[in-house]
Amino acid sequence: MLKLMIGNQKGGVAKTTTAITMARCLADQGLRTLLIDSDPQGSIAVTLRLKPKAYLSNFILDQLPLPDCVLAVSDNLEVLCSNRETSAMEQRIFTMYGREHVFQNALRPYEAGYGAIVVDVAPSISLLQACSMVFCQNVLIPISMDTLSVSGAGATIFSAQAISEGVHAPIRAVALLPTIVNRRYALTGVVSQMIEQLSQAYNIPVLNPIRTDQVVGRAARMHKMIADVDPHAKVLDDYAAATTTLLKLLQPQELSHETSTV
Amino acid sequence: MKPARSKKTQDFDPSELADLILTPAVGSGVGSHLIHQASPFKTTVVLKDRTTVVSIDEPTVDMIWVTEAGDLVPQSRVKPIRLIQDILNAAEQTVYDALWNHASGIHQNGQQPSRLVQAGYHPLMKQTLLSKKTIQRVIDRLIAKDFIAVEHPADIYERKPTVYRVFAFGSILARLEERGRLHAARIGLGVVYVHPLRQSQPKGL
Repeated sequence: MLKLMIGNQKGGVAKTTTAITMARCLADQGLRTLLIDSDPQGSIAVTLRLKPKAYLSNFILDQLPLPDCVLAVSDNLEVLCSNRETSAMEQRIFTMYGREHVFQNALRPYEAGYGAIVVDVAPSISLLQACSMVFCQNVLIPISMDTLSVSGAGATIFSAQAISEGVHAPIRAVALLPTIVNRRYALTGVVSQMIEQLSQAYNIPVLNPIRTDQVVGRAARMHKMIADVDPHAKVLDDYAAATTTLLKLLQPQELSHETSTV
Repeated sequence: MKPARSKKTQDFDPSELADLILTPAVGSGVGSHLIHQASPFKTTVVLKDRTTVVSIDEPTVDMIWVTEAGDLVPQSRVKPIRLIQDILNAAEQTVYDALWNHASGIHQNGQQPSRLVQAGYHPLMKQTLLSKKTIQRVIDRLIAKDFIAVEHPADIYERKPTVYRVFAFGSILARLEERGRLHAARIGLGVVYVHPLRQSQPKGL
Protein backbone atom coordinates (compact mmCIF):
# COMPACT_ATOMS: atom_id res chain seq x y z
CA MET A 1 0.00 0.00 0.00
CA LEU A 2 1.33 3.36 -1.02
CA LYS A 3 1.13 6.24 1.45
CA LEU A 4 2.41 9.57 0.29
CA MET A 5 2.54 13.04 1.81
CA ILE A 6 2.84 16.00 -0.53
CA GLY A 7 4.62 18.77 1.32
CA ASN A 8 6.74 21.87 0.99
CA GLN A 9 6.89 24.58 3.63
CA LYS A 10 6.60 27.24 0.96
CA GLY A 11 3.11 27.99 -0.31
CA GLY A 12 2.11 28.16 -3.96
CA VAL A 13 4.39 25.41 -5.20
CA ALA A 14 1.50 23.33 -6.61
CA LYS A 15 1.12 21.01 -3.62
CA THR A 16 -2.66 20.79 -3.92
CA THR A 17 -2.59 20.47 -7.71
CA THR A 18 0.02 17.75 -7.36
CA ALA A 19 -1.96 15.94 -4.68
CA ILE A 20 -5.20 16.00 -6.65
CA THR A 21 -3.65 15.10 -9.99
CA MET A 22 -1.37 12.39 -8.65
CA ALA A 23 -4.22 10.88 -6.67
CA ARG A 24 -6.25 10.83 -9.85
CA CYS A 25 -3.36 9.25 -11.76
CA LEU A 26 -3.05 6.56 -9.09
CA ALA A 27 -6.80 5.97 -9.22
CA ASP A 28 -6.68 5.74 -13.01
CA GLN A 29 -3.97 3.11 -12.67
CA GLY A 30 -6.47 0.95 -10.80
CA LEU A 31 -5.47 1.71 -7.22
CA ARG A 32 -8.32 2.55 -4.88
CA THR A 33 -7.09 5.90 -3.65
CA LEU A 34 -7.91 8.11 -0.70
CA LEU A 35 -6.95 11.77 -0.92
CA ILE A 36 -6.76 13.51 2.46
CA ASP A 37 -6.62 17.27 2.80
CA SER A 38 -5.00 18.32 6.09
CA ASP A 39 -4.72 21.98 5.14
CA PRO A 40 -7.15 24.16 7.16
CA GLN A 41 -7.59 26.31 4.05
CA GLY A 42 -9.58 23.42 2.59
CA SER A 43 -8.12 23.97 -0.85
CA ILE A 44 -9.17 20.59 -2.23
CA ALA A 45 -12.82 21.13 -1.28
CA VAL A 46 -12.68 24.62 -2.77
CA THR A 47 -10.92 23.50 -5.94
CA LEU A 48 -13.29 20.62 -6.61
CA ARG A 49 -16.30 22.39 -5.08
CA LEU A 50 -17.02 19.54 -2.69
CA LYS A 51 -19.53 19.75 0.11
CA PRO A 52 -19.08 16.69 2.28
CA LYS A 53 -21.26 15.95 5.27
CA ALA A 54 -18.22 15.58 7.52
CA TYR A 55 -14.66 16.79 7.42
CA LEU A 56 -11.26 15.70 8.70
CA SER A 57 -11.92 17.27 12.08
CA ASN A 58 -15.13 15.25 12.44
CA PHE A 59 -13.31 12.09 11.49
CA ILE A 60 -10.51 12.64 14.00
CA LEU A 61 -12.26 14.31 16.94
CA ASP A 62 -15.80 12.97 16.65
CA GLN A 63 -14.50 9.58 15.55
CA LEU A 64 -17.02 9.27 12.73
CA PRO A 65 -16.53 6.26 10.45
CA LEU A 66 -14.35 7.14 7.45
CA PRO A 67 -16.93 6.10 4.81
CA ASP A 68 -19.28 8.72 6.29
CA CYS A 69 -16.67 11.45 5.85
CA VAL A 70 -15.31 10.79 2.37
CA LEU A 71 -16.72 11.76 -0.99
CA ALA A 72 -16.16 9.75 -4.17
CA VAL A 73 -15.01 12.14 -6.87
CA SER A 74 -14.18 9.65 -9.61
CA ASP A 75 -13.70 5.94 -10.10
CA ASN A 76 -11.40 4.60 -7.38
CA LEU A 77 -10.84 8.04 -5.85
CA GLU A 78 -12.29 9.30 -2.57
CA VAL A 79 -11.55 12.57 -0.80
CA LEU A 80 -11.48 13.41 2.89
CA CYS A 81 -11.86 17.17 2.94
CA SER A 82 -10.65 19.78 5.36
CA ASN A 83 -12.11 23.06 6.51
CA ARG A 84 -11.35 25.83 9.00
CA GLU A 85 -12.26 23.50 11.87
CA THR A 86 -9.03 21.67 11.14
CA SER A 87 -7.14 24.47 12.93
CA ALA A 88 -9.26 23.96 16.03
CA MET A 89 -8.68 20.25 15.71
CA GLU A 90 -4.94 20.83 15.72
CA GLN A 91 -5.24 22.76 18.97
CA ARG A 92 -7.12 19.85 20.52
CA ILE A 93 -4.58 17.33 19.30
CA PHE A 94 -1.79 19.28 20.98
CA THR A 95 -2.99 18.10 24.36
CA MET A 96 -3.26 14.44 23.40
CA TYR A 97 -0.75 11.76 24.23
CA GLY A 98 1.10 10.41 21.20
CA ARG A 99 -0.17 13.34 19.21
CA GLU A 100 2.10 12.67 16.22
CA HIS A 101 0.40 9.28 15.80
CA VAL A 102 -3.16 10.60 15.67
CA PHE A 103 -3.60 10.10 11.91
CA GLN A 104 -1.89 6.75 12.04
CA ASN A 105 -4.18 5.47 14.78
CA ALA A 106 -7.34 6.90 13.24
CA LEU A 107 -6.69 5.60 9.72
CA ARG A 108 -5.18 2.21 10.56
CA PRO A 109 -8.53 0.32 10.44
CA TYR A 110 -9.22 1.66 6.94
CA GLU A 111 -5.80 1.32 5.34
CA ALA A 112 -6.33 -2.17 4.03
CA GLY A 113 -9.22 -1.01 1.88
CA TYR A 114 -7.07 1.35 -0.15
CA GLY A 115 -4.26 0.88 -2.62
CA ALA A 116 -2.93 4.37 -2.10
CA ILE A 117 -3.40 7.23 0.35
CA VAL A 118 -2.24 10.71 -0.59
CA VAL A 119 -2.11 13.48 2.01
CA ASP A 120 -1.96 17.16 1.13
CA VAL A 121 -0.57 19.35 3.92
CA ALA A 122 -0.54 23.05 4.72
CA PRO A 123 2.52 25.10 3.78
CA SER A 124 3.63 25.55 7.36
CA ILE A 125 5.52 23.83 10.12
CA SER A 126 2.63 22.34 12.01
CA LEU A 127 1.60 19.39 14.11
CA LEU A 128 -0.72 18.18 11.36
CA GLN A 129 2.26 18.03 9.05
CA ALA A 130 4.10 15.92 11.62
CA CYS A 131 1.03 13.66 11.93
CA SER A 132 0.91 13.30 8.16
CA MET A 133 4.61 12.48 7.96
CA VAL A 134 4.35 9.85 10.69
CA PHE A 135 1.36 8.30 8.96
CA CYS A 136 2.70 8.35 5.40
CA GLN A 137 6.44 8.01 6.03
CA ASN A 138 7.03 8.95 2.38
CA VAL A 139 7.28 12.63 1.53
CA LEU A 140 7.10 13.97 -2.00
CA ILE A 141 8.36 17.54 -2.25
CA PRO A 142 7.08 19.69 -5.11
CA ILE A 143 9.41 22.59 -5.86
CA SER A 144 8.32 25.44 -8.09
CA MET A 145 10.84 27.46 -10.03
CA ASP A 146 11.76 30.06 -7.42
CA THR A 147 14.42 30.11 -4.76
CA LEU A 148 12.08 30.30 -1.77
CA SER A 149 10.47 27.01 -2.71
CA VAL A 150 13.93 25.41 -2.70
CA SER A 151 14.36 26.84 0.76
CA GLY A 152 10.99 25.39 1.77
CA ALA A 153 12.03 22.04 0.36
CA GLY A 154 15.14 22.10 2.53
CA ALA A 155 13.04 22.87 5.59
CA THR A 156 10.74 19.96 4.72
CA ILE A 157 13.70 17.59 4.42
CA PHE A 158 14.99 18.72 7.81
CA SER A 159 11.51 18.35 9.33
CA ALA A 160 11.31 14.81 7.99
CA GLN A 161 14.69 14.00 9.53
CA ALA A 162 13.76 15.60 12.85
CA ILE A 163 10.40 13.89 13.15
CA SER A 164 11.89 10.61 12.01
CA GLU A 165 14.38 10.72 14.87
CA GLY A 166 11.87 12.15 17.33
CA VAL A 167 9.22 9.46 16.91
CA HIS A 168 11.49 6.65 15.66
CA ALA A 169 9.64 6.29 12.36
CA PRO A 170 11.43 5.71 9.04
CA ILE A 171 10.25 8.94 7.43
CA ARG A 172 12.05 9.92 4.27
CA ALA A 173 11.78 12.32 1.37
CA VAL A 174 11.14 9.97 -1.52
CA ALA A 175 11.49 12.42 -4.38
CA LEU A 176 11.71 16.03 -5.45
CA LEU A 177 9.23 17.15 -8.07
CA PRO A 178 10.01 20.30 -10.08
CA THR A 179 6.69 22.02 -10.77
CA ILE A 180 5.42 25.01 -12.76
CA VAL A 181 8.44 24.63 -15.03
CA ASN A 182 8.71 27.18 -17.80
CA ARG A 183 12.00 26.88 -19.64
CA ARG A 184 11.68 30.37 -21.09
CA TYR A 185 12.55 31.93 -17.75
CA ALA A 186 16.25 32.19 -16.95
CA LEU A 187 15.53 31.45 -13.29
CA THR A 188 14.17 28.02 -14.24
CA GLY A 189 17.64 26.88 -15.24
CA VAL A 190 19.16 28.15 -12.01
CA VAL A 191 16.52 26.53 -9.80
CA SER A 192 16.76 23.27 -11.75
CA GLN A 193 20.47 23.17 -10.98
CA MET A 194 19.73 23.90 -7.32
CA ILE A 195 17.26 21.00 -7.26
CA GLU A 196 19.89 18.76 -8.81
CA GLN A 197 22.38 19.90 -6.20
CA LEU A 198 19.85 19.29 -3.42
CA SER A 199 19.15 15.85 -4.83
CA GLN A 200 22.83 14.92 -4.80
CA ALA A 201 23.46 16.37 -1.34
CA TYR A 202 20.63 14.45 0.31
CA ASN A 203 20.42 11.50 -2.09
CA ILE A 204 16.81 12.18 -3.07
CA PRO A 205 15.78 11.35 -6.63
CA VAL A 206 14.28 14.06 -8.86
CA LEU A 207 11.16 13.17 -10.82
CA ASN A 208 10.47 14.46 -14.30
CA PRO A 209 9.52 18.17 -14.27
CA ILE A 210 5.89 19.26 -14.42
CA ARG A 211 5.54 21.90 -17.10
CA THR A 212 3.40 24.95 -16.67
CA ASP A 213 0.05 24.66 -18.37
CA GLN A 214 -2.97 26.92 -18.60
CA VAL A 215 -5.27 23.97 -18.12
CA VAL A 216 -4.37 23.91 -14.40
CA GLY A 217 -5.97 27.28 -13.78
CA ARG A 218 -8.83 26.50 -16.12
CA ALA A 219 -9.59 23.25 -14.33
CA ALA A 220 -9.53 24.97 -10.94
CA ARG A 221 -11.91 27.59 -12.21
CA MET A 222 -14.23 24.92 -13.56
CA HIS A 223 -13.91 23.03 -10.24
CA LYS A 224 -12.84 19.92 -12.08
CA MET A 225 -9.80 17.73 -12.27
CA ILE A 226 -7.33 18.28 -15.07
CA ALA A 227 -8.04 14.81 -16.44
CA ASP A 228 -11.72 15.71 -16.83
CA VAL A 229 -11.04 19.06 -18.50
CA ASP A 230 -8.33 18.03 -20.95
CA PRO A 231 -7.23 14.38 -20.91
CA HIS A 232 -4.44 15.20 -23.36
CA ALA A 233 -2.95 18.13 -21.42
CA LYS A 234 0.84 18.14 -21.28
CA VAL A 235 0.76 18.72 -17.54
CA LEU A 236 -1.31 15.56 -17.14
CA ASP A 237 1.24 13.60 -19.16
CA ASP A 238 3.96 14.94 -16.87
CA TYR A 239 2.06 13.98 -13.73
CA ALA A 240 1.29 10.53 -15.14
CA ALA A 241 4.98 9.99 -15.91
CA ALA A 242 5.98 11.24 -12.44
CA THR A 243 3.41 8.94 -10.82
CA THR A 244 4.70 5.94 -12.74
CA THR A 245 8.28 6.75 -11.73
CA LEU A 246 7.24 7.24 -8.14
CA LEU A 247 5.46 3.87 -8.10
CA LYS A 248 8.61 2.25 -9.44
CA LEU A 249 10.66 3.99 -6.76
CA LEU A 250 8.35 2.91 -3.94
CA GLN A 251 7.10 -0.43 -5.15
CA PRO A 252 10.01 -2.68 -4.17
CA GLN A 253 10.26 -1.10 -0.73
CA GLU A 254 6.54 -1.15 -0.07
CA LEU A 255 6.29 -4.72 -1.24
CA SER A 256 9.23 -5.83 0.86
CA HIS A 257 7.72 -3.99 3.82
CA GLU A 258 4.43 -5.78 3.32
CA THR A 259 6.01 -9.18 2.96
CA SER A 260 8.15 -8.63 6.02
CA THR A 261 5.15 -7.77 8.15
CA VAL A 262 3.07 -10.72 6.99
CA MET B 1 8.62 51.16 -29.87
CA LYS B 2 8.70 48.11 -27.65
CA PRO B 3 11.60 47.98 -25.25
CA ALA B 4 14.22 45.37 -26.09
CA ARG B 5 13.96 42.17 -24.13
CA SER B 6 16.76 41.71 -21.65
CA LYS B 7 19.36 39.14 -22.72
CA LYS B 8 20.83 38.87 -19.27
CA THR B 9 21.18 35.31 -18.12
CA GLN B 10 21.12 34.29 -14.49
CA ASP B 11 24.23 32.46 -13.41
CA PHE B 12 24.04 29.47 -11.14
CA ASP B 13 25.96 29.91 -7.92
CA PRO B 14 26.38 26.57 -6.13
CA SER B 15 26.86 28.25 -2.77
CA GLU B 16 23.40 29.81 -3.01
CA LEU B 17 21.64 26.58 -2.10
CA ALA B 18 23.50 26.29 1.19
CA ASP B 19 22.52 29.89 1.96
CA LEU B 20 18.88 29.14 1.24
CA ILE B 21 18.68 25.93 3.18
CA LEU B 22 20.91 26.48 6.15
CA THR B 23 19.77 29.93 7.17
CA PRO B 24 18.54 30.06 10.77
CA ALA B 25 15.02 30.85 9.56
CA VAL B 26 14.55 27.66 7.61
CA GLY B 27 17.37 25.42 8.68
CA SER B 28 15.27 23.56 11.19
CA GLY B 29 11.92 21.93 11.19
CA VAL B 30 9.35 20.60 13.59
CA GLY B 31 11.13 19.05 16.55
CA SER B 32 14.55 20.07 15.30
CA HIS B 33 15.66 20.35 18.90
CA LEU B 34 15.40 16.58 18.97
CA ILE B 35 18.14 15.99 16.48
CA HIS B 36 21.80 16.80 16.44
CA GLN B 37 23.15 19.84 14.69
CA ALA B 38 22.63 19.47 10.95
CA SER B 39 25.82 18.50 9.19
CA PRO B 40 27.35 21.29 7.13
CA PHE B 41 26.02 21.33 3.62
CA LYS B 42 28.63 20.50 1.03
CA THR B 43 28.23 22.05 -2.38
CA THR B 44 29.48 20.01 -5.27
CA VAL B 45 32.20 22.44 -6.22
CA VAL B 46 34.08 22.64 -2.96
CA LEU B 47 36.55 19.83 -2.79
CA LYS B 48 35.48 17.46 -0.05
CA ASP B 49 37.70 16.61 2.89
CA ARG B 50 40.20 19.21 1.91
CA THR B 51 40.79 22.49 3.60
CA THR B 52 43.85 23.87 1.89
CA VAL B 53 42.15 26.10 -0.61
CA VAL B 54 39.37 27.09 1.73
CA SER B 55 41.64 27.94 4.62
CA ILE B 56 43.75 30.49 2.81
CA ASP B 57 44.44 33.52 4.94
CA GLU B 58 42.77 36.64 3.72
CA PRO B 59 45.30 38.84 1.99
CA THR B 60 46.72 41.44 4.28
CA VAL B 61 46.93 45.08 3.33
CA ASP B 62 50.70 44.93 3.03
CA MET B 63 50.88 42.40 0.18
CA ILE B 64 51.84 43.32 -3.36
CA TRP B 65 50.19 41.15 -5.98
CA VAL B 66 51.29 40.33 -9.48
CA THR B 67 49.62 38.38 -12.29
CA GLU B 68 51.36 35.50 -14.04
CA ALA B 69 51.97 37.88 -16.94
CA GLY B 70 53.83 40.19 -14.59
CA ASP B 71 51.27 42.97 -14.14
CA LEU B 72 50.73 44.52 -10.75
CA VAL B 73 47.25 44.15 -9.28
CA PRO B 74 45.70 46.32 -6.61
CA GLN B 75 45.02 44.61 -3.32
CA SER B 76 41.31 45.36 -3.49
CA ARG B 77 40.87 43.10 -6.53
CA VAL B 78 42.48 40.03 -5.01
CA LYS B 79 40.33 37.20 -3.72
CA PRO B 80 41.32 33.81 -2.36
CA ILE B 81 40.15 30.93 -4.56
CA ARG B 82 37.47 29.08 -2.64
CA LEU B 83 35.23 27.97 -5.47
CA ILE B 84 35.83 27.24 -9.09
CA GLN B 85 33.54 30.15 -9.89
CA ASP B 86 36.10 32.50 -8.36
CA ILE B 87 38.36 31.89 -11.35
CA LEU B 88 35.88 31.87 -14.21
CA ASN B 89 33.91 34.58 -15.89
CA ALA B 90 30.44 33.90 -17.28
CA ALA B 91 31.57 32.95 -20.81
CA GLU B 92 34.27 30.63 -19.54
CA GLN B 93 31.85 28.94 -17.21
CA THR B 94 29.30 28.52 -20.00
CA VAL B 95 31.84 26.90 -22.32
CA TYR B 96 33.26 24.76 -19.51
CA ASP B 97 29.76 23.56 -18.57
CA ALA B 98 28.96 22.85 -22.21
CA LEU B 99 32.13 20.79 -22.61
CA TRP B 100 31.58 18.93 -19.34
CA ASN B 101 27.97 18.15 -20.13
CA HIS B 102 28.84 17.17 -23.69
CA ALA B 103 30.12 13.91 -22.24
CA SER B 104 27.30 13.41 -19.79
CA GLY B 105 25.67 10.76 -21.93
CA ILE B 106 28.84 8.68 -21.90
CA HIS B 107 30.14 9.07 -18.36
CA GLN B 108 27.77 9.22 -15.43
CA ASN B 109 30.09 8.10 -12.67
CA GLY B 110 29.98 11.32 -10.73
CA GLN B 111 33.35 11.18 -9.02
CA GLN B 112 35.53 10.93 -12.13
CA PRO B 113 38.47 13.36 -12.12
CA SER B 114 38.14 14.19 -15.82
CA ARG B 115 36.09 13.50 -18.91
CA LEU B 116 37.15 13.08 -22.52
CA VAL B 117 35.09 15.20 -24.87
CA GLN B 118 35.23 15.47 -28.62
CA ALA B 119 33.59 18.73 -29.51
CA GLY B 120 33.70 20.97 -32.55
CA TYR B 121 33.01 24.66 -32.52
CA HIS B 122 29.60 24.45 -34.14
CA PRO B 123 27.90 22.30 -31.49
CA LEU B 124 29.46 24.52 -28.84
CA MET B 125 28.19 27.62 -30.64
CA LYS B 126 24.69 26.19 -30.68
CA GLN B 127 24.81 25.18 -27.06
CA THR B 128 26.38 28.32 -25.62
CA LEU B 129 25.05 30.92 -28.06
CA LEU B 130 28.55 32.38 -28.28
CA SER B 131 30.39 33.20 -31.49
CA LYS B 132 33.10 30.95 -32.89
CA LYS B 133 35.75 33.59 -32.22
CA THR B 134 34.66 33.93 -28.60
CA ILE B 135 34.65 30.18 -28.10
CA GLN B 136 38.15 29.93 -29.56
CA ARG B 137 39.37 32.63 -27.17
CA VAL B 138 37.58 31.08 -24.19
CA ILE B 139 38.98 27.61 -24.91
CA ASP B 140 42.50 29.07 -25.06
CA ARG B 141 41.91 30.70 -21.69
CA LEU B 142 40.48 27.49 -20.18
CA ILE B 143 43.58 25.61 -21.36
CA ALA B 144 45.82 28.30 -19.87
CA LYS B 145 43.90 28.11 -16.62
CA ASP B 146 44.31 24.32 -16.48
CA PHE B 147 40.61 23.59 -16.70
CA ILE B 148 40.87 21.61 -19.90
CA ALA B 149 43.70 20.10 -21.93
CA VAL B 150 43.95 19.04 -25.55
CA GLU B 151 44.11 15.26 -25.70
CA HIS B 152 44.17 14.93 -29.52
CA PRO B 153 44.35 17.90 -31.87
CA ALA B 154 41.72 18.29 -34.57
CA ASP B 155 42.26 16.51 -37.86
CA ILE B 156 41.20 18.89 -40.59
CA TYR B 157 41.63 16.27 -43.34
CA GLU B 158 39.42 13.72 -41.63
CA ARG B 159 37.11 16.48 -40.31
CA LYS B 160 37.50 15.25 -36.75
CA PRO B 161 37.21 17.85 -33.98
CA THR B 162 39.65 18.25 -31.12
CA VAL B 163 39.44 15.85 -28.21
CA TYR B 164 39.63 17.69 -24.90
CA ARG B 165 40.23 16.36 -21.44
CA VAL B 166 37.85 18.32 -19.19
CA PHE B 167 38.87 18.22 -15.55
CA ALA B 168 36.35 17.97 -12.72
CA PHE B 169 36.07 20.77 -10.17
CA GLY B 170 37.74 18.72 -7.45
CA SER B 171 40.78 17.81 -9.50
CA ILE B 172 41.09 21.41 -10.75
CA LEU B 173 41.24 22.71 -7.20
CA ALA B 174 43.82 20.07 -6.30
CA ARG B 175 45.97 21.00 -9.31
CA LEU B 176 45.71 24.69 -8.50
CA GLU B 177 46.86 24.03 -4.99
CA GLU B 178 49.81 21.96 -6.25
CA ARG B 179 50.86 24.80 -8.51
CA GLY B 180 50.49 27.42 -5.81
CA ARG B 181 47.60 29.17 -7.54
CA LEU B 182 45.66 30.23 -4.49
CA HIS B 183 44.44 33.75 -5.35
CA ALA B 184 42.68 35.34 -8.28
CA ALA B 185 41.88 38.88 -9.35
CA ARG B 186 39.13 40.15 -11.61
CA ILE B 187 40.54 42.49 -14.22
CA GLY B 188 38.07 43.85 -16.74
CA LEU B 189 35.88 40.96 -17.85
CA GLY B 190 38.46 38.32 -17.08
CA VAL B 191 39.79 36.61 -14.00
CA VAL B 192 43.50 35.88 -13.68
CA TYR B 193 45.68 34.09 -11.19
CA VAL B 194 47.79 36.34 -8.98
CA HIS B 195 50.65 35.68 -6.61
CA PRO B 196 52.05 37.72 -3.74
CA LEU B 197 55.24 39.45 -4.86
CA ARG B 198 56.77 40.36 -1.55
CA GLN B 199 55.83 41.39 1.96
CA SER B 200 56.35 45.09 2.44
CA GLN B 201 57.64 46.59 5.63
CA PRO B 202 55.14 46.86 8.44
CA LYS B 203 53.72 50.32 8.82
CA GLY B 204 55.35 52.55 11.40
CA LEU B 205 58.83 51.09 11.05
